[in-house]
Parts: sequence; structure tokens; C-alpha cells
Amino acid sequence: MTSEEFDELALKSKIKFSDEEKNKAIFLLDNMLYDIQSIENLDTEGLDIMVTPLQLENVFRDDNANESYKQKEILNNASNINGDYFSIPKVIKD
Amino acid sequence: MISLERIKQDKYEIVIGIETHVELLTKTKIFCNCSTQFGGKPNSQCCPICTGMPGALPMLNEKVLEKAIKLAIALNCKVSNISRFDRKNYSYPDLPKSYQISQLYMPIGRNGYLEINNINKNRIGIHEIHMEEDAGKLIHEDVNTLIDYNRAGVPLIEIVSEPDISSSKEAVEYLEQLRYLLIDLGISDCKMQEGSFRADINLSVREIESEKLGIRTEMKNLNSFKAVEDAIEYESNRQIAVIENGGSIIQETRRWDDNLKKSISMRVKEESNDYRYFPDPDLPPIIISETFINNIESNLPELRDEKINRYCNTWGIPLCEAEIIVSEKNLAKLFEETVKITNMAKEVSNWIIMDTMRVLKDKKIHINDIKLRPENLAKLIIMIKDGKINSTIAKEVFDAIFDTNLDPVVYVKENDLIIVENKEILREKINAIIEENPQSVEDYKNGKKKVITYLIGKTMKVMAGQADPKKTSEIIKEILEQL
Repeated sequence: MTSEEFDELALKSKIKFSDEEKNKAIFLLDNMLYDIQSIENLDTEGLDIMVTPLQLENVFRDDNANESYKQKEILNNASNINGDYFSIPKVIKD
Repeated sequence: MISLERIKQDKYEIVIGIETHVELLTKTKIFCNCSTQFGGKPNSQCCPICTGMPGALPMLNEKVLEKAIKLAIALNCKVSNISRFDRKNYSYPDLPKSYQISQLYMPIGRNGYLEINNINKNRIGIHEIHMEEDAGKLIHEDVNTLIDYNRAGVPLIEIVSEPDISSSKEAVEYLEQLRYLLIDLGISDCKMQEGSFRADINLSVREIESEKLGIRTEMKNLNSFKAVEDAIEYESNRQIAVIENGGSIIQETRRWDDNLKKSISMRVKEESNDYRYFPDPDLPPIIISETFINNIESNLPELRDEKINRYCNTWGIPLCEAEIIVSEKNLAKLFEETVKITNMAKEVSNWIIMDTMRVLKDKKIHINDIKLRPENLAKLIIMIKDGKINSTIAKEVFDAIFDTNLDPVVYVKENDLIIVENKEILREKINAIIEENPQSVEDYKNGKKKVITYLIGKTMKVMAGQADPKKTSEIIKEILEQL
């Protein structure tokens, strides 16, 4: 993984890295990608696509409303609220 | 100088594809049991699942799957036998998990079409339809942005058309037809103002007969069919002007400003469109059996086009009238049930197209608030057929019973509006009239037959319009002959 690829991924993930952390992370990611490459090299010709490794399928719930969490509980962990709302720095420019 | 309109017509064609998002009429959200009720107190319909708390496990609402399959069938799509959810990753505060659960690789339906014109049977291809969750609502204030997550997790179906649409008119027809379908199927209430039916327009222009598609822009924030029409006209003119002036189109998302009547670039950085989709490991795959699909298919309600055909073919209603009646569920219901009682489709259609529409407009009543019941409309129509009231009186009765649902038979009796058929009463009145008009007897004997019309008029006046004209005429002749 190049330094630029890493920066782009960090930007999209909204995570800041120090140079030291970045070098360590690139090393770890490269190792992961190497392992994945060996899977990619397997011959899968003629095999069906595996939709999921899970044994489960068709897990549904009925359309019945339950009591939601109290508004106070939902807003409780927010660092900034304004009345009924979560409040954050403005995200669009005028 | 050649006008832009002329260049547009002669040199370019417009290529449009539409992505439509509809909010489903379910009681609860797509992956949790929170209510979907519109207009609740902000952040009061939320739980750890729809606010993206760590460790919360989503579970699919079965009704969402049913509705999606219903729509896939109605849009002539191939319903997938295996379907699955994927994560669409992007960071924006309306999305508490930083990813939206959507479908990219295995959507619920593919390769369908929608017919948008009853006469030409013009088909617009449906590329795919998929299920996903809605995001929360952001309110931008002076300094801060406020967030309400009540809408986060409300079930959506996205319908992606093929780029088969070539004008603003066609785009609106497509959306109207789709809206009818969604309402008929009970999938969505499709209220554009409340955001339960939202269309994004992908538009490009190219020179006629050019093989290559032009670069497209995506337009958002279209809150009415009129806005869709205006936005397409504006954006196609803008693109043509750019190209004619030697410039090139940038692939971008643009926001329609309905007050300024123009589209404005949202300047979204290109890289932010890299969504890094991957299968959502929290949601097991959906295996859909043929039996399940067949079961839904056999329970589909009659759709708009089928209804229009039935009205035209079985009951002989003109296409334009059938289209108006079918456009509103309540009108169609009033029509069908009244026809069932009276077996007089044409007459019922007339009362709906002419008088119902007139009274709705005059009294500013919404179609959904019609009080008149089919049995009472039927009674009114039968009274006219039996000659108990004439058409002038019938209109008066209709106006009176429309927003009260009074029984027209009772109303007519209580207000003495029944045409007098009783020959004895009529004879008595007519005798008196003839006595007061000796000259008319003379005239009749002298061969002036027109005097009968004059006497009918006199009788009607005395009887306040309630005499049966045919019987009145017979009695007058009888009396005059005997004198």
C-alpha cells in the first residue's frame, strides 16, 4: 500500500494518524493484503458464489412497533444538544 | 442568430435516467421496531439499532421484503432468488453508523419495465429496484446543524430506471405512473412534500445520432412534478449552452433551487463517491422461493391500467373519463360501487366526472373527504331514471346530499321535490289554469297547437317545476279535446 493510498483511506475513514502510527499501520495492512492475495490466487473456476459464510438465512421480524428509547436516553451521550436535537458544527457552507 | 430552443430541437437529444426513493408504508423501521410515524417529536422514535450504537444487531422487517417483491413483480422485474444487503460507506452526520445498509450486488429485482402511456404503450426500462434505509434529517441553522434521527432507518425502496427517458414530459409521465402504481399497491403514500416520494434526475445531452452518451449530472431536491419539469428544461438548456460555447460538462451533483428556478452545483469532491461497498455481515442472506413469489403475485390488487381497461371494455366508459376516475382511489370506489347497484355505468361516470368534480372544487372538499355513499348516489340516479325527479332538481339534490350523505329519497320527499305524477292532482291544477286562460281554448280550436307548450309552461310554473312534463302534456290535450 502506498503512502497516498493510505492517506486517502484515512481521510475517508476520518481518522488522523501520526507519522509513526501511519508507518505501523501500513506495515500491518500490507501483511493483511498479502494474506488476502493468497486467497485471491485460489482457483474458483466453476464454483458457485458463496453468498455468506453464515449458516443462517431468512431472519425476519414482524412489523410491530415497540416503545422506542426515551428521547432523553438517546440524547444522553451527545456532547452537544439543542432542545430536541443533536447539535453539531454546521456542515454546509452558505 | 439561431435560438437555443432551435439548436436544442435540431441538434441535440436529452438522455434521462431517474432514481426514485420511496418511503414504505410500514408501521416500523426496516431493521428495528421503532415507529415510522411522520411528524413525531425529534429523536423520540430511535433506539440503539437505528442510531448506530456499537453492538446493535439489525433484523429485517418482513413487510419491507413483501412490499419490495410486490413492486418488483408489478414492474415486470426478475425477482432475485437470493438477495443480500451491503454496506455503503460514507461519513455524513445524517448517517449515524457512517454506512447505509443498502443493496448493490444482489438487489431484490432487476430488468423490468414500466409502461407510461395508455395509447402508445411506451416502455421505460427498470434497471433494478433495491431495499435500503433512510438517513436522518439535518436542519442547518446559522452556526450549527441540528439532527433528528427519527427518519434514520425508515424503509426505502429505490427504483432505478434505464436512461430511456428523453423529455421533461416523459419524465413526469414516468413518475406519475410509478406513483399510481405505488399507491395502488399500498407500498407508499407517495407524498412528495413529506419526502416519501423523491426523484433524482440523471441527465446528459448528446448530438442526435451520436453513439456515445454525454457526461451526466445528477439533480436532487425536486419536490414536485412541476419542479422535475422545470429542472429538466433548465439543466438540458444549461448543458447545451456549455457545449455550444466550447466548454465541457463536469460530472457532478447539482441541487435544484425551486425559488431561483436553477440548478446549483453542490461541489461534491469526486473521491467522496467511493463508497467501498461490502456485504453486511450482520444480515443473513434472503432466499426467496418461487412459492413465496407466486403467493405475493396472486394477491396483487388490480392495477391502474387493468382497471382502466376494464372500465373501457366492460362498461364502455371513454378512456379520458376512465383515467380521471381511476386517478383517485376514492372516486374509483364510489364509481364501482354505484355501478354495482345501478348497472348504469355511463350515468354514474357522468355524475362523477361532471358533478362530483364540480362540487369538490366549489366547496373546496378534498377527494378523500367525500361523504356521499354509493347507495345514495345510486338512489339519486334511479329516481331520475324512474322519472321521479328531473335533471335540474337532481342537481339540486346532489349538491345538498354530497357533503351530508343524506338519503336523496328522504330529501326529495321532505322538500316536496318529487315530480307530480298523480294525474288527479295534475288534472285539477290544469283545469284551473285553462279556466283562467279562455283564449287558449279558442286558439286550440282554431288549430294553434302551440298553445299546448304555453299551457305546459304555465303548469310547470304553478307546480314549481315538479310536474311530469309528459303527463302534463297528455292531460292538457285530453282536456282541450273534450271542451
